[in-house]
Amino acid sequence: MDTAVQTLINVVLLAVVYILMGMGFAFILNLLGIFNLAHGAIFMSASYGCYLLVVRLHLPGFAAFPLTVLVAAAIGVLVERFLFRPMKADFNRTMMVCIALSTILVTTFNRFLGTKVLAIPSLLPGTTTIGSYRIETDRILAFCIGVVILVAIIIFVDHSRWGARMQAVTQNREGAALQGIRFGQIAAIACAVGFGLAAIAGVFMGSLYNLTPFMGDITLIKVLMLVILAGIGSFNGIFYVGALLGVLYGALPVVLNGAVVDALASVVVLALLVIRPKGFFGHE
Amino acid sequence: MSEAKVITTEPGEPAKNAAVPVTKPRRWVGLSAVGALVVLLALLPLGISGTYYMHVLILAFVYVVVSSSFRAISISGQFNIAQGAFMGVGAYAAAIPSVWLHWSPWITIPLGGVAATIIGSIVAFPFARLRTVYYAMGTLFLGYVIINLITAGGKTTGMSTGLGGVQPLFASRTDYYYLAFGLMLVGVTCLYRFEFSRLGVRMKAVAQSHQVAASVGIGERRNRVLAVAFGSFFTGLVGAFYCHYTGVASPGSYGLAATLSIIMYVLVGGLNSFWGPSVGVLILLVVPEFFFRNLQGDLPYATAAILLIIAFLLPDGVVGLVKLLKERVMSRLGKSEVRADARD
Repeated sequence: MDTAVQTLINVVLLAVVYILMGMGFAFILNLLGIFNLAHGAIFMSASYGCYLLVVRLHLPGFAAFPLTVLVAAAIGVLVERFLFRPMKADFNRTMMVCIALSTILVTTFNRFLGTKVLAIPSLLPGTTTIGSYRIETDRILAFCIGVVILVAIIIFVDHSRWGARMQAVTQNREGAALQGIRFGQIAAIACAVGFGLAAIAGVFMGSLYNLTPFMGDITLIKVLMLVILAGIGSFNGIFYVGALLGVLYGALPVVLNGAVVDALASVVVLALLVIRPKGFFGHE
Repeated sequence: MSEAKVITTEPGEPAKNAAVPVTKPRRWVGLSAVGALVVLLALLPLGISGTYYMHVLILAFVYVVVSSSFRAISISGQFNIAQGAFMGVGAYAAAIPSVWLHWSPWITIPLGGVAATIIGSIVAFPFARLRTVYYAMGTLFLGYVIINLITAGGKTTGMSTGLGGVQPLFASRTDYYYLAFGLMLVGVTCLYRFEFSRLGVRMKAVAQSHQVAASVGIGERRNRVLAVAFGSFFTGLVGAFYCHYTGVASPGSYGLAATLSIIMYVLVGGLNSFWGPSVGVLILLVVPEFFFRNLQGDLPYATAAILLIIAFLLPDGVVGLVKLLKERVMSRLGKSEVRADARD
């Protein structure tokens, strides 16, 4: 029974990580039309950044976490302004920029910290007993933060002014411009939110597993899987499919070999791509 | 979302080839340059026999073919981020019979090309529905799936450690050099003929506008699948050669990182011209390995810097720069200067 509770928490945490990453990736893809190959690298850098803040600068975790996210969001604005906007959504040029960005980040962290086994130290060490189950307090905290962030995103996308503007630009860029929505502003916000969400996901992942400079690549592929399954242009689909992937990767490895799960899941997604290229929840 | 044009064909190119009398002198210049290069590369082993440089050049020949094939696929508007995985398909299709059935390398190398063609054209059908960014996303995922399936293959594929003990072809590296050189010559010649054939022009038409192409009877799906089949044959062929050369086939060397380096070669050299991929391999693979081996760890920074410079200043790559300079010189020599580029 202990494993069941542990698995449940793992499922939720993984789902949160995938949903956050998928949301951020989809914002940038839908609004700017940019296939952000550097998303995984941002995720990885945030993880390492938080680690450095906590371990090297001795900041308390409660300060380091928001600081990492804010810095990532600021970097998002800068990247949009100085790297993405001059490319005018030209596919080859944005590709080069994204590859360069991700190369720089991965190489830097790999050179200076890559050989060590690192993990972000837990915020609240120890375990808590709920009923008859003992669970690490840290995971309960991560669980709560994750749920709060998910609710906040739903409110942001569906019920806020900015969310409405983003959806408007996604649906029809020219139409949105005619309604007085400034594309530059929306693009900057999309990048800030996208990078910020990737940073939150990165910190989560870094507090659950060990850090490696290449953790971004695998997560990027999971995110692609998520976006393909959810359907391009669909924000709601990402929630459902993210939950599904969480179950897939959080629960199935308990009973099956990890490599088999990976291969199975990818074949299913590929088959779906053949049958329904627009994904489960895609429109257009 | 409006369709972003991945490829812009040079409208002058097919016409230039057709008008033989006018372009004859210039073609001779190009041909003799290529001929001189071929002779130089053929004589090179006399000087550098058995050294590390030879290994680098073999690697470069392999990547020239792979990245030129990438470009051959891309002229039909498909940015295929599974190129490394196709190479892996070729490598494993050669390695598995070689290790477990002891087939001769002379059978398994062509087999690698055929296997990559078959796999490539099977997956190309569903992917022909996706365009631009979505095609890129789909193929990136496809590459991951292929590597995953290879890794999940149990003892047959050696799991994640790879399959060692692939039979070597020759004893000396010089023989490998000549075989790689020959494969490159054949591959590049075929890809060149392909691009400037009627088929290649059709594919460029599909890339520019699939609707206009369809209106004059050029089917989108058929041409795109054909491009993938053609490109993946040579990719698989040299992939198989490469695994016989190194003696191992390991999934790590065909993953996303490998594909991204192929894409870097192509984009730095210039996606819009035939010699772009080769120039990219020269700049990003041969030059660093020959002259800058001592800063191995810092090399990715240099690569990233080159990529950024290209992205900001020269969207058509290094070959684009050469073309631009040539145009400038021509217009300076000719009539009053007309700014050819309205890029800024």
